Amino acid sequence: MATLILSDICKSFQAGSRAVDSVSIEVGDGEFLALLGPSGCGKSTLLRMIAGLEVQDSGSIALDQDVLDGVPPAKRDVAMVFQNYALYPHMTVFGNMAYALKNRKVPKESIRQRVLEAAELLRLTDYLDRKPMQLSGGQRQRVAMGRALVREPRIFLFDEPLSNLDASLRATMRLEIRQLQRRLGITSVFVTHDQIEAMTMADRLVVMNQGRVEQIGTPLDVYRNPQTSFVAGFIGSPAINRLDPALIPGLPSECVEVCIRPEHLQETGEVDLGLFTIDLIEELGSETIVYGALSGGHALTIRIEGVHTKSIGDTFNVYCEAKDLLLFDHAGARLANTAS
Amino acid sequence: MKRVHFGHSPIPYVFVLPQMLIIGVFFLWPSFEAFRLSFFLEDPWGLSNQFVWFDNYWDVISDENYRAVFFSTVIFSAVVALLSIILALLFAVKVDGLLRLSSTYRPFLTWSYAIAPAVAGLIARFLYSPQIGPLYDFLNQFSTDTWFEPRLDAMDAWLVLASGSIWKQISVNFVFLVAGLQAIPRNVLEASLLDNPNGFRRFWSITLPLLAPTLFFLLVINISYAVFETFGVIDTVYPFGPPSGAQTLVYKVYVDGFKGADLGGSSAQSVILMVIVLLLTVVQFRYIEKRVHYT
Repeated sequence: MATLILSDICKSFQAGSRAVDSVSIEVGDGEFLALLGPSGCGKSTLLRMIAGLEVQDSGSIALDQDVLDGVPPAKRDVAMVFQNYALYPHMTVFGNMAYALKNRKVPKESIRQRVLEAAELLRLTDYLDRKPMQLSGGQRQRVAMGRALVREPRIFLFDEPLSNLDASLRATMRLEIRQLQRRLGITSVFVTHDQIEAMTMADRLVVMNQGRVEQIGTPLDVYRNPQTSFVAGFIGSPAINRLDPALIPGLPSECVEVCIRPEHLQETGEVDLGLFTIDLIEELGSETIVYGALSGGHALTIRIEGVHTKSIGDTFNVYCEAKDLLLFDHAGARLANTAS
Repeated sequence: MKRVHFGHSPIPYVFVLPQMLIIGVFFLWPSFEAFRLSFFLEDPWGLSNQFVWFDNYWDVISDENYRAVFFSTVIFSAVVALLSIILALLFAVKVDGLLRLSSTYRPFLTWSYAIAPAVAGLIARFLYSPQIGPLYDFLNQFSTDTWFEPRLDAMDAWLVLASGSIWKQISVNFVFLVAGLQAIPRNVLEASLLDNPNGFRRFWSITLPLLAPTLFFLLVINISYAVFETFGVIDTVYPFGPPSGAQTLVYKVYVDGFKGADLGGSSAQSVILMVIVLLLTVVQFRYIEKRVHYT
């Protein structure tokens, strides 16, 4: 049970470029926060600074009332799950999970009990005597989880823990981690570059780019109300459509970019975007993604619920509602949409 | 299931031929010769010989001097092998932290690898020389009643030979240990950083077990170095032989065979030495290797 407060964290590895630039985040008690961003955006560095594996150049990290600056990693009461699991190859599953407790002078019987409980929870009871080499990817992942769990830490840190798993296992583990975290109520920070992971798991997500926080919000809020052009483009699959403001009359003069989600483009509406020709259709069953271009050569993606009857080469007029348009200025910041 | 068969080509044999020739000429043939000679008594001029069954072996085993050299060799080899591994490990651990930050140092640190035992011996000879040796002067500063005199005193000679041999071998061990340390996954060490607040216990419980394959390999080659290759150091520091009591078995083989012209007895010693090393290697692989975890 803990609240994590990062205030004004900066870190640079080479002079002149900031890996993490003035980041301030507050993670509430029991909250599941996802740090999302492209590779090299500083999200892993930020996580490693919380763990104490990197030291920030400036700024402060606090867990409840305790300031963590200068506290060695093992004394922070923080557990981390690594991307490649980082299991101790020479120890059994039991040994891996018991290691941290042994070093904290927990009585033997208590260690045994806690490891067995965690193993039960993670369905690892039959594998306690095995070495990590003898386990599958998903099992290793669960051992890494177990190793963090038995410590009963104040905060969980996840560094892309699912990226080494295959797609179906990833979906299962996504669900399991989320259920487990909710049941135990341990404050968690989860780093990922996968927006599906971030959107489905997180209570709130932090979108980062080039060391800076672009936006903090609930998944839906970030999706519906991107505060910057980067967030608009990074969140959402298929990617958001970027339009030339010249296509739409009546926009404010400082608007240099207009974005609209693929599902907001329709065959009727207030704003006429022009004639659209279909280049490619992806039928996904529950939805259909249509790729094509406007008569001026401007590429667009349209998402339609269910199955539809059009075919490649068909043309039709594309419309949208004015309130669905997202306007950005030259710096990429969101502008108020006067129509909404 | 149909298997794929490759036609047998003579080319692979041609490729391994040079190596086989080297092994044959420099190892198998001399070994066989030593084995054969150990059953003969040869006259000092090498003109005639006489088959004497196991007499040479009985002579060696019942020789009090041989037993003394045997025990001093055991101690010498154990000290040289262990100290050169432990000291190299100490240096490697210290350097490992730096290397993770920078790779510029790496080539410089491996230079000393190229020193031959004979060169190490020469350097030791200079360092401990009564005329110009700084270590000779340094050690004599501390002696009150007894003088440090490696040319006469067996114990002092032992110290010179052991330190020279260790000094030479540290660089070899160091290179392997640094490589071994660098091969330990970074994330595993980081995980232990979160799990264990005590740096020494972290090293003992995580780093050392993960380094075990390298350490085991080094143990095997260091023991064979300490037993055999230190001959180069001994012969360069003491061209006319060390004070008696600072000999090793290999040096005694050489002295008895080539200077004492007792080819049969020297060959018997060689065969005994071969058997000892063979047993030692078997013991290492059977009992120590079991505890090594290969990833």
